[in-house]
Amino acid sequence: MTIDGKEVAGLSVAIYAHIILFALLSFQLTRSDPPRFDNPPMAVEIITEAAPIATAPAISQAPPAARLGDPDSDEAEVAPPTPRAVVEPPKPPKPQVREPVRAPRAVPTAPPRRVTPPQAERQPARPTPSRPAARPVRDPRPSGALDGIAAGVARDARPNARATTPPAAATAAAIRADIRVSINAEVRGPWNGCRVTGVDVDQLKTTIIFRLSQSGALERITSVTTSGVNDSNRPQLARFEECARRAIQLAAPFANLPQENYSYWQTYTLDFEKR
Amino acid sequence: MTMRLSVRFIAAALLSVIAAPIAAQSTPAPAPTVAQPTAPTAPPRETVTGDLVQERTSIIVTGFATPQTASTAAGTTAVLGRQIAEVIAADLERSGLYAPRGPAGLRAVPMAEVTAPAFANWRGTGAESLVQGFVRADAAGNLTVGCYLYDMALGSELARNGYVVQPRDWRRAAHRCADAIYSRLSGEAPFFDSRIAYIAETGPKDARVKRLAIMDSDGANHRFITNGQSIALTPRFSPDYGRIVYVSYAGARVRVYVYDVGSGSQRIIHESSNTTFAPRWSPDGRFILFSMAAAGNTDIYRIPADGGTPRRLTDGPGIDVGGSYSPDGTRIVFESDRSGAQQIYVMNADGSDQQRISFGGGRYATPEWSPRGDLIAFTRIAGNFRIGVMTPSGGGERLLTDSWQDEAPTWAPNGRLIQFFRTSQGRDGRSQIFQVDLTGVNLRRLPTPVDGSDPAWGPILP
Amino acid sequence: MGKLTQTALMGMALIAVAGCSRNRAPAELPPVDDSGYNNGNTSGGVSNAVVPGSQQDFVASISSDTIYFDTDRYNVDDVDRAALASQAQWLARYPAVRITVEGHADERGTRDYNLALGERRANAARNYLVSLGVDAARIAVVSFGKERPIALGSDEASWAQNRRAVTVTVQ
Repeated sequence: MTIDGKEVAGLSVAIYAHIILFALLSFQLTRSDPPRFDNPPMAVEIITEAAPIATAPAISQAPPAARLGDPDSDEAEVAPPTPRAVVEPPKPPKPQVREPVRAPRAVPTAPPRRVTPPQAERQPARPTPSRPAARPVRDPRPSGALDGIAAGVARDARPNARATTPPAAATAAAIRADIRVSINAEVRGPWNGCRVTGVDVDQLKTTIIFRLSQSGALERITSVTTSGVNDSNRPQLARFEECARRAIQLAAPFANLPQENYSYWQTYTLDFEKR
Repeated sequence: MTMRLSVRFIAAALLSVIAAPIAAQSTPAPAPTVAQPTAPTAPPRETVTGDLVQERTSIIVTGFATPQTASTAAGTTAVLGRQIAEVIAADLERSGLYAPRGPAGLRAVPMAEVTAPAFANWRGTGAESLVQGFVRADAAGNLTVGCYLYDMALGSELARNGYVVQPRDWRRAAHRCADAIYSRLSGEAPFFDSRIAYIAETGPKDARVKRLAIMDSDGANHRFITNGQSIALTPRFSPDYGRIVYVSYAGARVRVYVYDVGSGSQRIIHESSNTTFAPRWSPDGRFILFSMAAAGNTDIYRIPADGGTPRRLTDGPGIDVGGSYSPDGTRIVFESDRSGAQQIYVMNADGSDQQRISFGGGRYATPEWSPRGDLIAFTRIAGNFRIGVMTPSGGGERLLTDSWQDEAPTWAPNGRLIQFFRTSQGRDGRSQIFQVDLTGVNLRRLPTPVDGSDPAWGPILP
Repeated sequence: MGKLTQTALMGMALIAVAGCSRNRAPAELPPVDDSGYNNGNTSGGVSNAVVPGSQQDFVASISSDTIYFDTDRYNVDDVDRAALASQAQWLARYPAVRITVEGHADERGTRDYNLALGERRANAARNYLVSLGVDAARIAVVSFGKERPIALGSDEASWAQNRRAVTVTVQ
């Protein structure tokens, strides 16, 4: 495990560097002098009553009806394909703390997780202390049904299997579905939470290739490309890509990825679209 | 760096080779042979599909802080901080894309927190973004307004802007801040810091008093230009907001006037015994298009905005009217009934190469070229009057509204929203200004002191 | 100019009274306009004494001061010709009187197009009067588009009343 130790340290440095780089790029570092309005075109009156105080509509907490493959409503049911040797008890809620990168990389069986207070709409009793809610209460919003029936079936079958005995022979498709569910379920929330709107935005598709560490942390995003760009949706391109990157950043680290298949999911490609 | 990356890459690759079997072996009993032999080998690629139509993005807008409460011509900086946040929140709400919360009902944010947000305190709200800022009065009596936008989930700053304004222009600073937020989050060009000219209407239908009026894009700073003695119609701001061209019945005739906003004086653009109407500016403000009726036949003319000889652009027995320049000034879209009913045509700016572009059922009227150039808005008359858009070649027609009589679209400066006026039926029928976005949603009425028609949205203020 | 305005106002008031008697004063009267067509409605004092050659005399002497049109049309039909002929006869008796023909459209058209259409209708009436011998120099035209309806309803009967050309004398 000495190699592992060095590797983990190296990866941590790399991840830190990437996150810092991204943060730097995200910030507007230039603090230019503020523009001046030197030429008021006409005398104006101060009409304060024309500026009503806006009230925000309440965001519905109700999950959508009849949505296939909505992982947000039952992501707690998603379990690793094989039981873990060590199951960590749930961490106490630490709503204020949220670190992009955490130390305990050396314990792959207990990947660090973001912790928020338990949510009322989740099932109160869970058979396993799997992933706590990764995001605030806005989480159970409608999400696109990307996997449709297949994903739904895969999850439906899982609780029983886990509660009794593991499947006698997990197929490649099942493993693949597990990984897909683990990653997509996490990414879709922040992807949906980053609104992009405009004409022909539904024609954009951003493809992101990224690498994960064995612990499920985001190692780096290796490529971001977008197809379907036209004159109408070009203004949204930058924001669309930003939202896709952001979704992966916020979703990582990914838990419950099968360690034995790391070579399979180490490099992962996601196509982001809004329909 | 390259060296390190390579080493890391090799190490990771090496790890990936050996990790899988190790992990598989260390996996306890239940299904020991499961993973390894059947592990999928194709590189994983999946699709994440989000919802295009979803609830509006929640944004927290806190009252703007002030380092030291000071009196200004527009009130104290403490009060202004609150009011600026209210204007920003109202702007964002009106865009139809966002659900702002605050500043009412939110705790006051101290000055030190403006640039170092207490994200943890706001995360419970579920909001995606946070807007904070400050107002400071300087010795010269000017206001400095700082405006900051943060991504709540990432805990990162997305935009920051500062504006120096005279106290009386504090609303413009708020609009500029809202524009910066809107542009950063939507990708679109700004539009809040702009003005609208329109016709204010009062009185019964058969004796309607119609006055030229102007206001900010949010309806504030409303001001009547004409006193209502003569009917005023179809105003348009010049691109620099210095002048307004419009139609007046003053002098017992229907003629196009150019009103100078600064001096309050006006002049007739073309002295003639003929009726002149339907004026429009060229994008550079150097020319005015107008329609002139001679012996019952109406054609489109172009005249230098500072006066001169009009040049006739259309020449036919039908009614050629309106006209709207493409943003590059090279082409003009107009309406004509030369085919027997109103349809939309495009021609070069010199009047050559006139081509019909509307071929759907019914009639098409009041074409307006988007300031982005990609679309033409129009009124479609087929039973009811509806607002629609099509490409300059006539394709991709989409209708955006569905009411009894919606008429005369005008584009927001960013070409993403359209205003028009909606008339209701009957002897007490009203005319009111509405706004809709290009996807046909977010329909809302623009509040005006009295009824309104013929809205004309100006560009972003200089 | 003042005379013209006064006449126009009187004509409008008369038309309103004679037309459908649904004339309602606006809640807020604008200041009297001395430079052009009044924006609002005014009920000017109309003397009972009919002066020969006046607008009152004109309206009282002819079969109709108004002709009507079909939707989007501006052709003069037989009924219109009779009305215009009676106007021409009266105008022949008072060769010094000048007139303005006001063209109107119904509300079911866009504003600019209706201005052009009203212009067409007024010109159709004017051209027919000229063909009957009225000096073209005596006839001015003005289009009101859909700005000054007579009938206020949003129905075919109202719109038919509003698609019109009205002749008023200029004193």
